[in-house]
Amino acid sequence: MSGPDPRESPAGNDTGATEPFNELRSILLAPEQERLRQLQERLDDPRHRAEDLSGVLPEAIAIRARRDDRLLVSMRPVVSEAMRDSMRRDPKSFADALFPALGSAIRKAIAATLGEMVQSLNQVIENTFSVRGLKWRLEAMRTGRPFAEIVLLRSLVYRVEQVFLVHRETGLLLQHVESGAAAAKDADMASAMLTAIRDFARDTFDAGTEDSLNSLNIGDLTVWIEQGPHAIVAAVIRGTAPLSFKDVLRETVERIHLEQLEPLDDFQGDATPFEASRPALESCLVAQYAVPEQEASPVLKIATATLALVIVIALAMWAYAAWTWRGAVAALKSEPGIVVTEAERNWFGANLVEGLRDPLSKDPREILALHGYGSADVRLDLQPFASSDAGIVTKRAREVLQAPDAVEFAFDNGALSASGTAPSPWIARAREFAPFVAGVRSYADERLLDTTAAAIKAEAERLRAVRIPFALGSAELVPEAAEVARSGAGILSALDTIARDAGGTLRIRIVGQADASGTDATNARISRLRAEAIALAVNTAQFRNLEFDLQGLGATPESDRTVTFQVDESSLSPRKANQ
Amino acid sequence: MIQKKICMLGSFAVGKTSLVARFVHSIYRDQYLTTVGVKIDKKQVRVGDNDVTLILWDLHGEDEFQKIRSAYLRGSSGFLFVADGTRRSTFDKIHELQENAVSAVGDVPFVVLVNKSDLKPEWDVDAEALGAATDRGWTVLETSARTGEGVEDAFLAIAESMLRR
Repeated sequence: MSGPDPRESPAGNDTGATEPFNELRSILLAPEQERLRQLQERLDDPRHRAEDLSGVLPEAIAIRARRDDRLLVSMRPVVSEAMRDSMRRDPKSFADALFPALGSAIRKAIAATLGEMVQSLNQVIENTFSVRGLKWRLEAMRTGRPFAEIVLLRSLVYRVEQVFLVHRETGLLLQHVESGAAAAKDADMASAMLTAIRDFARDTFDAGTEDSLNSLNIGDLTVWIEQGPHAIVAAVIRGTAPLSFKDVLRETVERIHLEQLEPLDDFQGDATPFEASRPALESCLVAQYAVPEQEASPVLKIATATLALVIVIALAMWAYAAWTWRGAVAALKSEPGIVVTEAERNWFGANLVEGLRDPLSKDPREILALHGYGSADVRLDLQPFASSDAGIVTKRAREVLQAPDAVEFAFDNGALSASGTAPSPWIARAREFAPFVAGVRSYADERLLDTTAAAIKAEAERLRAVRIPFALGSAELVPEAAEVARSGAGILSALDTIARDAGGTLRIRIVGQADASGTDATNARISRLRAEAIALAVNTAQFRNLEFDLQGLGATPESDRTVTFQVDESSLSPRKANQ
Repeated sequence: MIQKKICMLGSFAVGKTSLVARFVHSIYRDQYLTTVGVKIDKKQVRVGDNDVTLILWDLHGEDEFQKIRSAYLRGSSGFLFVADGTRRSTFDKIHELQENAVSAVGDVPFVVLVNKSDLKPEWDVDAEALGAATDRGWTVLETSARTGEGVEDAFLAIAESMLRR
């Protein structure tokens, strides 16, 4: 104490005058002076002061802590330093003290990490085998990004990937934390550039000093910025964070300013003190994933799957039935002689086909059967008509004209033509009746070979070669002549058959001849006798379809003692018959 | 680790960007200069026992069409003023830039870099002008973006000046 002693005289050297006064004072104030002295001694004695303080210190701390955080802020460096010092001096004691808590904390951290891994694994597995998962897998294949990344992005509501603590004035980075999924570039430069962009925006739009850019959007990233007096907190968010996260940032800024006001105030480029703000910043690294939809019950799943299966099968059957029906109708429509005017498919009952049908066309039931439709499946209402389709007209001509198998027909635009081979009578009859076949306007048979005429011609050639010899002056058959006559009779028999098949008669001339050794009258007579002898020999009466002329030719320069045959081929000619 | 913000200032086309291009870590394109008006680079130097990270704010060259945004200067711990030795006007401009910097952030360390020392025969900035600047107490260094001469020294000089504060 540097003040004047109350026991001393206020006048100093005027001892004589103050002595009575002091004595009086001692008498009057002795108890108080004693108490003052005791108090002075108590105050001067540190041991006493500490004792006194110990009595009120807990309550004083409690009162101050309730009022504000100044005590906490003031004590933190001292306590931290004391703890550091203690740890340095006696690390074992600290290790022993922390062991129970540390072991538990480590176990908890490992369990939490494993839990996240299992949850992540579950999510990946779930998404791998779901429809949504297949969709995401396709997206991964298309974009070339890992499947896990697609799963994460698509199931992510939001995730705070990075948090920057930036000195507001200098733009220097004070602290930076990031989640494991984030790939941060240089945080120092990002911090400065972020500040530059904020300055740029504020300058550009003449915003006030306290106004600033609070949000940036870059693709699916958003940067939310919360500003404090000395520092800003910028959070890089993937996805859509709830507005309540702004409160988290605001509280973080306030907390950092409260806890580190002094380092912020005195910041000269050393960011070391802000290591202490890592926990606060890390608490902002939060994420939220989409909650998987409520798992449906197995019964509902089976019912849904069954219903889906039934629908799929029904659709498949419907599509197949429609496809086969279209095929059957198309086959009917393409069939010659059938015209489909209406084709109706009924779910419940027989299908219906209406239209026209030529009797000569293929049976529509057979066509439908080829496509799986029985008689009861389709009701046919086909009215008869005469089709002008080429296939049907040729079929009709064959039927009407009773054409031999060797005859081929062609039909084009009303013109019927025949080719192949046929006997003369049929050829004649076809010419007569073909124009009356339905659909035929003209008929031609130039390419049709007449088989009757060809046969007559061939037999006539053979018969012409038959020469029956006679002796000089005789009309009697010698044995050798009889033999030749028999062969001639065989040929005549063949011609008789041809004529019979053709429905007509054929004229044959038996010509007797003589040599020039006799007179003309003798020769004429004997040649006639010889012809008659042969007619008798071959028994002309047996040939009902042959008409014979006997002729005695007499002697000519070329003649000899023979009888020959001549066939009048045109006698059975259809043309001739027509004429 | 100590961080410091440094602004690089100079007239248009004095070679600020080229000067540091080979010596700094950069993740941003030069187009930032013409859009936002600033490009951020980073340079680490060691001064004594201290590692110092210099966050370089390469500001778009000031000319008659575009003024420097003073907001960018705020919080700067030092300046690198760059002039083109072949253009006297860019050197004279540094007086104005330095005054603007002082009015914006106060008296902070700075170093004047006269660039294009590889073209010294063509210089328009004479010894008298350089001497006058030195007499005013300025630290003047000659640099070349082409050869790299003096660039590291410039970063070291500004870092030392700032740490001395």
